[in-house]
Amino acid sequence: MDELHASDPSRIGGHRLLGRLGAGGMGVVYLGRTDTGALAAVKVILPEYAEDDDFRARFRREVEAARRVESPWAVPVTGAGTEGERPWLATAFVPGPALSEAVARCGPLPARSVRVLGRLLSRALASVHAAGLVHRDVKPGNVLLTVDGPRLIDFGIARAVDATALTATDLLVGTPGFLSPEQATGGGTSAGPASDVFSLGCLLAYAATGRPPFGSGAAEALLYRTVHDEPDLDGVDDPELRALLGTLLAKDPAARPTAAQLDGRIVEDAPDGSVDWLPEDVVRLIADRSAAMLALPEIDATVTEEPATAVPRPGRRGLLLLAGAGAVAAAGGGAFAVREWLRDDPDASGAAAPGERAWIIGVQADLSGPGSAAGRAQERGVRLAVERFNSRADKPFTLRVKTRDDRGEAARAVRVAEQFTRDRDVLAVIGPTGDPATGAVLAAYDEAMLPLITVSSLQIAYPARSKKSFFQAAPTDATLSAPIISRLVLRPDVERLGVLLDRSGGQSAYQVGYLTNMNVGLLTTGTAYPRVVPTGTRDFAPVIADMLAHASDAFFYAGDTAGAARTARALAATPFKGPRMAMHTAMDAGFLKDAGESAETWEFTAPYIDATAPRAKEFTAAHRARFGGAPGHWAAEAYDAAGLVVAALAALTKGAQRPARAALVAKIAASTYEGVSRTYAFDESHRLKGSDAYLYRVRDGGYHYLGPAPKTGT
Amino acid sequence: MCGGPIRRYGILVLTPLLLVACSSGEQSPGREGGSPHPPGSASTKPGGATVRPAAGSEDAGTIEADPARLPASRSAALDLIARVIADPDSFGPGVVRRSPYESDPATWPVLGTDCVWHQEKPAGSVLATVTRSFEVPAAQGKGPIRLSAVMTVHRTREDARWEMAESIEETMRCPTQQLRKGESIGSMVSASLLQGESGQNGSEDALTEIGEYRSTGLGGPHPYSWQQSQMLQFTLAVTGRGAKGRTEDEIGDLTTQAQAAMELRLKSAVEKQS
Repeated sequence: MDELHASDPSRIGGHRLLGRLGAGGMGVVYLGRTDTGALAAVKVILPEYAEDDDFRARFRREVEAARRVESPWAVPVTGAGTEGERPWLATAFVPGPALSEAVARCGPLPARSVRVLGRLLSRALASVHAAGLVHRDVKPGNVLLTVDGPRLIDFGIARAVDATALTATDLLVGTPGFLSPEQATGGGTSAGPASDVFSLGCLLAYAATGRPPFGSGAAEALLYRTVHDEPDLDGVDDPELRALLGTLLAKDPAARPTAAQLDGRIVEDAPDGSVDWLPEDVVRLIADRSAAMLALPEIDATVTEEPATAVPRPGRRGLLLLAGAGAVAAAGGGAFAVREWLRDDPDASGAAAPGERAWIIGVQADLSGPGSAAGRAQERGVRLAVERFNSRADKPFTLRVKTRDDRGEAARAVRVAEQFTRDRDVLAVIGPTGDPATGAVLAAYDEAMLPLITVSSLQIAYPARSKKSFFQAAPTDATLSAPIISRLVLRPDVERLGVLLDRSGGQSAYQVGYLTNMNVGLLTTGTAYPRVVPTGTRDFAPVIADMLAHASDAFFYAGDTAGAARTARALAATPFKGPRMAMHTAMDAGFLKDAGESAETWEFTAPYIDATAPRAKEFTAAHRARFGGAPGHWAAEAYDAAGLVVAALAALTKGAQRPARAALVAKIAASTYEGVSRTYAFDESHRLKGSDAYLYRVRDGGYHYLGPAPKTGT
Repeated sequence: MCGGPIRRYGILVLTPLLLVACSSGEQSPGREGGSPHPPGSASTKPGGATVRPAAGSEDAGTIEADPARLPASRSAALDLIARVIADPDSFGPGVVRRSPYESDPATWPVLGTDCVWHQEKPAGSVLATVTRSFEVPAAQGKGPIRLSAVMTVHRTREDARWEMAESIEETMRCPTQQLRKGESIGSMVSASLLQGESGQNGSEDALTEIGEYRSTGLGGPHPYSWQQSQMLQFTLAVTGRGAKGRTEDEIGDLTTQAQAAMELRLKSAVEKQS
């Protein structure tokens, strides 16, 4: 990034300008920061163009068009001023390297990376096309890489399909080597959505081989080869990928799939927030950019070992729009996360000076194992909380997030814990995701007195002899039985609760099932009828028949997803019409799929709040703005856990003095924190006080949030 | 509010139970505040429950069985039981046979819907089952500790798993049970760990129950403990019933010792020999 020139404005459209990201024929792109702390790429049009009425009309259309594009894989427009003296357009700032740079530095990408790129960029293009636009310059330089996925940028030359007058027909728009045959022969007006698909094919071939498929060199020769020659796909060994590229690069536009069809044709899971879709050296390239980012004055970014943030190479050619989901949350005021802290402590301010030790919140999560959906959601929650904290002008220190993946495996979890505990810059760790990892690491965290706050390890006891630094910021399995009983038994039509404990569900199911059965008689005037089935049971019909024969008029299943689906089907085959419930461990897409229509009316209690809950509204909006999608389950709880730690940290910190880990443990233990999901306070064993849980119900093939689960005796 | 009863009956009772099977010598070098136990013996966790030592190697619960050594007939099953089931030495010094020592192998105990135990003919899935009775005789003002060991050979591993499931059901449906006339156990709670859960590596499935024992002859409440584990098509169980002057730790140590001994014997009796 270059420094501002003397002639540059210091503010534009509510953005304080921090430096120049690039300059081109029509204007300059600045890195700006909004008053709420969000970073943005602000494109400001040169005065000579601004005075041109035609240009201004075109710019206005560009802005309108760009605002219609809604995709997590395309950069969002965050603001624009089309009528002032100096028209400007702001987009969220994405500090990732361009695909062109990544391939140039690190070589061709593996087939999986290329498929992920293809799938996500096809979604971005589908969204562009749905808005009635054609991008016209899909190329590796216009795709930025982040760990979450790619971002399609530069709508500077995107034009509405019907806006033909704006481009001279003999003007070549786009980049030779990535142009479609129809663009090569017909000029600017002949490009349609199918042309973007062809360009995407060129881009993916480039990513897979390191070369444009029609070679390089003089523009005319390139264009000729594009029209007449077969693409060069040598080196694409994956037969499926090769065939796919062949269809994208069909000479006849009508023979190519649409962007929307392409999304469905590529069988590759979206990365969903993890870095495993990119090769390690590309991840490292992104990491290097993070470091560069941190070195810039006045820019606070979160870093991670597998970072999501990086800074762009300055001075890239043309009108470079560095945009997309930024390093700092784009929307909202940043105030709701850490509501109550600092408000009455105006002296605590001043960012950490350069060279000072880092203040790090660790995330130990399962990012690639059986609990990866929860782990990734939690990582995002923590990130959002920390970024919101960092965006405050009066923050007393700047926090960073460091994430380590333990895959949910005990052995790996121990190594992760060793790394975190040895790193004296780490103040607290959010995690682990699951019980096996938690059980394995408690001793290490205890010895280091490093605060460890889990939101999804719910076992009521772990083997560790001592776990003084460990907090369970969610109701344990033991307390989750109470809302289940309240929902199922405290109703006039239920006298006897059938409890089916399936050992396939492991400890979590055992504890919830066992205690639900035990507590029915303690909490209500009803009775329970328990049955237990061994791991691997497939035929539930005989057990269910026995439970119904013993007058069970409500039904609770404690076990795993597969067993819940079989139980649902078996129960649906009986005349039973009563209420039926399972626990959150079975509440996933697999249950809906495997149970089919039998899933209807099943209810679930879960410790996690839903994105649609009224009290999560602000959080959900901020999450969408930051990550381009609704928060997954456990994101809000991890956000709360991070907020709780930050509040405790802020309360302990005087000046630039770091609190000791043990002091932070004590402060957290004594905290009462109002979060998105619930109010957090801990008992002497550092377990969450209370048994607040949430209710979900299956309706029309989906999970619907019903609200907080009822409490007993209230 | 729900917190009261759950806390009282749930966490307080179940927590030590869960800790019971959370084994391993490394994590618990010895009795807290007491003398260290020799390797392989039982030790205790805070809360008074007993910790089962890891039997043999880390993955002792995984047996690579030699099919030729697995019993297929009733006589082969009885022969195997005779080699594996606990004898007085399995519990440690001071334990003697009670009379009758061995149960009638034609019957086994069943908990009825009335929560009363009685003898029945075993289910068809059972190849053979034997129960032995032991005691630590009354001495120095302390009452006798009554002990028993049970080994059951099922036809299939699945049958053995169903027996474990039924054992869990027993405390769920009958927290108070009548053992025989004048003898009962109450406030029963069970904890159960599959192999790999919380460091449980002694067997495929390990169940621990604790409760309070009362009898017309010995009074009470005294500590009651039951341990049961499953490997392949076999289940192994030990029970201990306390008396005046006997502690929960004492009962726990005895039952744990015998259970571990049976698991090791079973393993060496059926696993592939190199």
